[in-house]
Amino acid sequence: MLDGEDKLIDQAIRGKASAFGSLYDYYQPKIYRFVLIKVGRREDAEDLTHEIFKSALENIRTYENIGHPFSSWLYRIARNQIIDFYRTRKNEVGLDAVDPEFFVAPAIAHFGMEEKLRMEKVQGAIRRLKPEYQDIIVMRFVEDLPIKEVAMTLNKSEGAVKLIQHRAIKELKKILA
Amino acid sequence: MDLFKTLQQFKNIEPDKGFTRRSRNLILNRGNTFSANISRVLFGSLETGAAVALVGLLMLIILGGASHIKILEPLQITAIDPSSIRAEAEAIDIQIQLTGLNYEESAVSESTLPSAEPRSSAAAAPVAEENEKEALSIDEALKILAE
Repeated sequence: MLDGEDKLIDQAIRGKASAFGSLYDYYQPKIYRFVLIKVGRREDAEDLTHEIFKSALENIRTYENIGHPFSSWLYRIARNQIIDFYRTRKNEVGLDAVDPEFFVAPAIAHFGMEEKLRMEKVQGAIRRLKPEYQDIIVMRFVEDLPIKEVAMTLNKSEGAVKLIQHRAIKELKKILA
Repeated sequence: MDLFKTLQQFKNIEPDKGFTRRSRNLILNRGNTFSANISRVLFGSLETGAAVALVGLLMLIILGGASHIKILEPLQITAIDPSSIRAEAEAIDIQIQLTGLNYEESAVSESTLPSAEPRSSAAAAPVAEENEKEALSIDEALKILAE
């Protein structure tokens, strides 16, 4: 969580652009990674990330600080945007039908060849999981979010999150085997 | 392959700096424009509302609707006064009756004039007799009766 986040949110709600800018700077890379791992293609991830923050700014007045972290609200917007993205792309060519390297490569170009191949393989396996499993894998093991925050984001109990996480890891390992 | 170690490596993925800069500027500028648009729409509505209210008030004053205000009393239009309207309506009625009377008189005098149009033989004889009778003066009629 960002230092002085509550104050920044209040200021952003009152229309202070710099306050929203600070929230953007802190959360944008996290949301971008979440989106990129789920959609695979860098251009799509950039477009979606932009839309997510645009939507967040337009709707920030509806945000109520009731103990849920701001990141949960952002991840929820992100999940809805990704659902809409796949809904509109339903009739287009399936991303699985195309070489995954074409999509992922630009985002991980700075990694070594071995790391890059390993990451592409894992990323491909994640994308074959159910959306709910994907969310938990990224939030728990990439972004290191606590169980409580994941539960708030997915609107589930902490026990349910633990159970889904266990199943997701099992499924991911099965795909990679 | 250590799955969790690989997953942690995804944390090193960063968005393109150029994209971040462009996106940030677009979103924050849009936010300013959005607020500016809201104020513009609000003030625009207020201006329009005020203009409509002013026009309505002026119309009310011009038509004498505000005549109960002592200061504006001289502006009262007599045409809207009910008694004068009633008097005018009665006058119109009389004029119509008089016009009808004149029309009937002129219609009678016109009917006494001989017709220049040719008539059919069957209908012409009795009409001609009637015309002759009508054409006689009272003196001539008395003279005929005396004979």
